[in-house]
Amino acid sequence: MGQYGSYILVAYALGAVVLIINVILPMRRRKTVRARLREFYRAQEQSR
Amino acid sequence: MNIYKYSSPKAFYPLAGKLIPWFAVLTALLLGAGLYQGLFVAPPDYQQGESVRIMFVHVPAAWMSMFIYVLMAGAGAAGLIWNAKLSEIFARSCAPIGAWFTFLALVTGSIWGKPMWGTWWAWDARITSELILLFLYLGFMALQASIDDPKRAARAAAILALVGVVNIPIIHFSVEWWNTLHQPASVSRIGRPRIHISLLIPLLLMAIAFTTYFVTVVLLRIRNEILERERHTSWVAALIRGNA
Repeated sequence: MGQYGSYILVAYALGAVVLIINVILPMRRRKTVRARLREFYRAQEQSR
Repeated sequence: MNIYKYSSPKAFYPLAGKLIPWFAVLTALLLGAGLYQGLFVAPPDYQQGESVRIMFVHVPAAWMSMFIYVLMAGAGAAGLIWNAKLSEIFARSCAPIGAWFTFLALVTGSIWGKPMWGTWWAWDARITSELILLFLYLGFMALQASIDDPKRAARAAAILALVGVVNIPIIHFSVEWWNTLHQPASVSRIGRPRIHISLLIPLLLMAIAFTTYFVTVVLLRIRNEILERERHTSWVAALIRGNA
């Protein structure tokens, strides 16, 4: 890739990071949401 | 088949779960083909040399940044007009993905600009209007986060998104309306694209891959939003208790 190799690698690496982040964030949030909802329903049951 | 039933979060949630693996596989295949074509098959450009390969990330990211914004504003409008909960959820789920694509378009453009223009940044009409798009996305998310009631938050953010739509034609036509450092359109011209087919193929493959990728991640986000928004319903309670 000649003299532009470092620019190309940085651009593609950044693209990969952005794509990976956008998969990881909702998957992690899914776990958080489910844990929070489990707590929510448990609290509801205890208050009855 | 009645497709309108899928406008209900309860019906859409399992459908999204079924669609995600298909779009994920399609994305992986298209991304693999696009990267192979872009990095190993496409020849260097006669003017830009090897740096043209940055375009295979930069241009699809810029297209996605505008496409997602239009979808987000359209969903916001549908939420305002028809009071459709799923539209509000869709608009909210689009915003962070659109913001990331805008960020990627700006930074890869900057990385390309340094060797080609001799500068990382220029206050050029195309680049500045794209930066405004990033601020619109951030404003949309900030506005939603600042209002506790999801219904009111969705309505306020939808109005902001609709006002911001005016920026999309400005981004697109900025290179024609003003004398900019950024080059004019070479693919989306009416008539024949100026770009050679050997460069057009990886560009389009990457653009389609980014689109299917967007569908995959927006569905992931929509499922999370549905669970949060529908937590008072019996079906979400049953779903969560069933998996506890």
